[in-house]
Amino acid sequence: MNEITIDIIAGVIALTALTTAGGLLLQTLSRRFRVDGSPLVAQIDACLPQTQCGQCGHPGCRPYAEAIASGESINKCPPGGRDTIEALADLLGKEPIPLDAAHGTTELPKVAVIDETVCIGCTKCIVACPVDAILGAAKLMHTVIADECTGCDLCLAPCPVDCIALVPRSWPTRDIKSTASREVIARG
Amino acid sequence: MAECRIIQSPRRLAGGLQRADGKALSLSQPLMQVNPPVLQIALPDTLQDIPPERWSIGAQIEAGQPLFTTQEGITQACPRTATVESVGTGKTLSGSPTPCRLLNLTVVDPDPPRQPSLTPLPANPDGRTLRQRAADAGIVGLGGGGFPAHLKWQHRLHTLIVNGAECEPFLTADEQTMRLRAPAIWDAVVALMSALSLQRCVLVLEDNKPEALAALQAAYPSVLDAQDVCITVIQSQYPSGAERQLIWLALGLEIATTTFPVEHGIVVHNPVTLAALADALHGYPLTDRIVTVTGPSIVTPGTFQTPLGTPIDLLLSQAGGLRPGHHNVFHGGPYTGWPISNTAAGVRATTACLYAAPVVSQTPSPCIRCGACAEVCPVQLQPQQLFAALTHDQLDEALHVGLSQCLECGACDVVCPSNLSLTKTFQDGIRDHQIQQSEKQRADRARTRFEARNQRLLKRSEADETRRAVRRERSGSALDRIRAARAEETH
Amino acid sequence: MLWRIWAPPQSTRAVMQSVWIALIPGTLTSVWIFGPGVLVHLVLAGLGACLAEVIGRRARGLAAMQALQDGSTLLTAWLLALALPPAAPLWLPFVAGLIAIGLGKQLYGGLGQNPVNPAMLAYAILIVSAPVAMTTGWIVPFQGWSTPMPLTGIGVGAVDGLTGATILDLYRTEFRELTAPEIAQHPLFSVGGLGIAPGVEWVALSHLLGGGFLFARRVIRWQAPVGFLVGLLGLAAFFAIDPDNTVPVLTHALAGATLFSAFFIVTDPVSGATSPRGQWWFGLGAGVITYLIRTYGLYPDGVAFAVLFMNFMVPLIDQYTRPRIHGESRSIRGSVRGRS
Repeated sequence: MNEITIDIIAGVIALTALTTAGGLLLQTLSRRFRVDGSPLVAQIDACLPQTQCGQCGHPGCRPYAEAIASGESINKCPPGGRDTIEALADLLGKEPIPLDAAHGTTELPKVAVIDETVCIGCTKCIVACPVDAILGAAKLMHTVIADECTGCDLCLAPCPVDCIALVPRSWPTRDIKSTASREVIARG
Repeated sequence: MAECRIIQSPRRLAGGLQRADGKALSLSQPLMQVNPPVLQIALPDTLQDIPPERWSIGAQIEAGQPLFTTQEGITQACPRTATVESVGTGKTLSGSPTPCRLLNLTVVDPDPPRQPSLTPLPANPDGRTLRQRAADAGIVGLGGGGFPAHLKWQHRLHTLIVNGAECEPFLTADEQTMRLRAPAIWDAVVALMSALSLQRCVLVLEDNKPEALAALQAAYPSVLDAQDVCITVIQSQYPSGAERQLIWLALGLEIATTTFPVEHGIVVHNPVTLAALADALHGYPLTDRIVTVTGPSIVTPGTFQTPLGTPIDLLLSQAGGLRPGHHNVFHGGPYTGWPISNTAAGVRATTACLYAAPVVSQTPSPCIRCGACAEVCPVQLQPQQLFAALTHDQLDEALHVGLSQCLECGACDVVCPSNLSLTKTFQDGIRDHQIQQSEKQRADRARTRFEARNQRLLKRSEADETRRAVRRERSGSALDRIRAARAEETH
Repeated sequence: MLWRIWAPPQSTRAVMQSVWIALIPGTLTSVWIFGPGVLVHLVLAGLGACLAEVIGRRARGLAAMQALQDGSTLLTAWLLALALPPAAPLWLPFVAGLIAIGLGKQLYGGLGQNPVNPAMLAYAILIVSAPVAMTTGWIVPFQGWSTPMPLTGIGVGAVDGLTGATILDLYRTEFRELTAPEIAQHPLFSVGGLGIAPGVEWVALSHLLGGGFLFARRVIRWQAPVGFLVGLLGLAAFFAIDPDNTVPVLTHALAGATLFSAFFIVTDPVSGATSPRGQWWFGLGAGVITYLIRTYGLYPDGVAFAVLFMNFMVPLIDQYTRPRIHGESRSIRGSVRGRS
């Protein structure tokens, strides 16, 4: 073999060895310094508002989270609104997109209230509530536990006497007592 | 009188404002007693019990009788003997959209002789008795915080700090109390030290209160050991009276931001609270307090001893009323006060000062990043970075840079050359964060309940399946039985 | 750090006014030594800057007069007038004003939003795009009023006896053959004054006076100017172990725009770092880079590029020079953004 061929072969071997060593080093380092986070589905689920309403087309927030992890679009949650879309976009490295209007619009949070003068105690709403927020038993008064109600709307349809309504939740407000005074004495 | 040890603190705040303190304005006349003909008491949203017979119109309530007890155990006593004029809902002091329940009373005897309505306690009560008495007498933080005193004493404590700094300009209620009621303050210190087994007490004063210092020195009781109890004088800066800042100035200790001072064994109390505690030990529940009525818009500013529930406009008229023109009346001082929208409402336990100033409209201009706000911040935050993050909807960035540590003291607002509402922006950000946290907790609860329900339904359907399988095994499938029965019938 | 009872300026306009007052000594000295060019430039740069401000505000649908009232536009124009050569063509300051406010300020949203120093941005763009116009207008010291009609000296290009090289320019061109002490024999140095940097040294000292005023009024902090001077003069002093081939330290200090930049350019609050420690690093970095450009780079005075470079470093500096919050064990570093 002449010198040039030896040079070429030597060069190829050297480069291959270097790149292989580099690749092995990177792999070892990435394994050694891996940060174990919670599984992706749980992270996605943490961004969703847990209303369990089904407006996204899935029976609850967790199934939608699993669907998102498999590639479904992130703009199907009306109760989560813009904040949820942006949080999901941040998490998954995607672009935030506007809410898909086919799934509904974002409204102020609501709670269900049962009109006790009309309720017949049929338990159909209790069975429908995804978070067990309705208290009651057959032939006994039903009532919604306001603190647990997510405003998902699923109890309205089953009620045979139409005694449930959604009313705006008293949203926790910013304190009115904010500092508004400035020093009025001439400075200096 | 025993010799009291006085220490000059060498420390000063890293930030802080030093301004003309405006206190001479309300100290120019002596403390005056106010005896209003009507009282308006705001009822808290949740009460432990509502004695129904007390609320009927025309019923007479004796001075000192308990009106209500809050969820935290604080019992509010009726300040004067009065008849119930009405119980209804009305506007709150701050003008918040949620109306509050109000109790309107017509005072029968505006200036009664003071009678103890609780049993006077013997000297040096133990911890449990002291806590119960503080709760029964309605002792809350009278510097403006309103935190129930007995809840602070649930921790293991070793040091008591009396916060006589009163660092905010114009406020003088604490100073008046220290001048006029020094023996009562020391009585409370003695009682606390023995009941809670405290090892030491430091009474902290700013250096602009020489008369108060003299009064406290003169009243120093001989039962206290000068080694354990001393007075520390700090430089007058705003806000030296903030709890963590005060602890650092007085003791040189920096409390970690993730903990509270009581967790480190240090409890801080306002001297007005201690004077009220001393009264409570003698049997007098909290019914009156000293309110400073002051400011450039008040005709004759001064300090007033007045029962809780005194209508604010009555107090203002006692101080000569407001000057002509447009003025804002603030609940609190010029830096931490908030505007009162309903001046017919009654004075509360937390009303330490009423500050009135002319309405000044100052248009804000953009932030020029001058850094003046960062220079005065007592917590050494970077207000310009917080402001930039919050105005661009980046709450997470603001929290990263330390938004939760903001004291909302207002020092940055004062020095900003662009007239930005920095403190309001930070307050809004902190509230938004709290709202976010509570919504997250709600969502977590909903998720747990949803999963629990799914588990329950799954278990039930599995149990049903098992039951059916067992029955099928025992007596064969239903279809076979029906076929057999039909076959029998046709035969 | 405490604020005393006699408080420093309490509005943006008052801050700008303080800086105008601080610029007066330097401006007057410049006019006395180098002629009326500075004043003409002030008018023209002011026109360009205000025009850009008005166009920028109107284009965003905002009132134009409000923005002009805070005085920051005029300040940028004034800084440009002092930075540009006094005999430069008349279109130069006008265009500089347009670029500074149009590209350097309005494009980013107006007051408080510019990431770079607008005056230095315009200077850098012009020195790269119009090098001749930017370098042939330097007047020979004390000749500014020599012609019968001084105004005709402005904008006509190089004129023998009227325009000449700056001191740093001189050192740069002569270093190929001569040593520093030999360069100091050049007739330019005997024009008068301290003999270190004829003409411009008086302007520099006047700017020092103005800077002292700003510091006394609490408008600027000491960290940025001192950092700049330490960076620049420290390196100059270090390399002065070879005095024959390096520009003397005092010349670095008094020639070019050193003292002017130290007090008026690196102290710009909007584009500079905000914490005191951050300002120190900002000034230091700018000083070091200025020395490097002056000694090894193409341009005789590298302050503009040094400041622009450090402006881009400011977000990083701000993230890593925060003071420690009371109650935390260490200062908060970095940002939650940009970590995805």
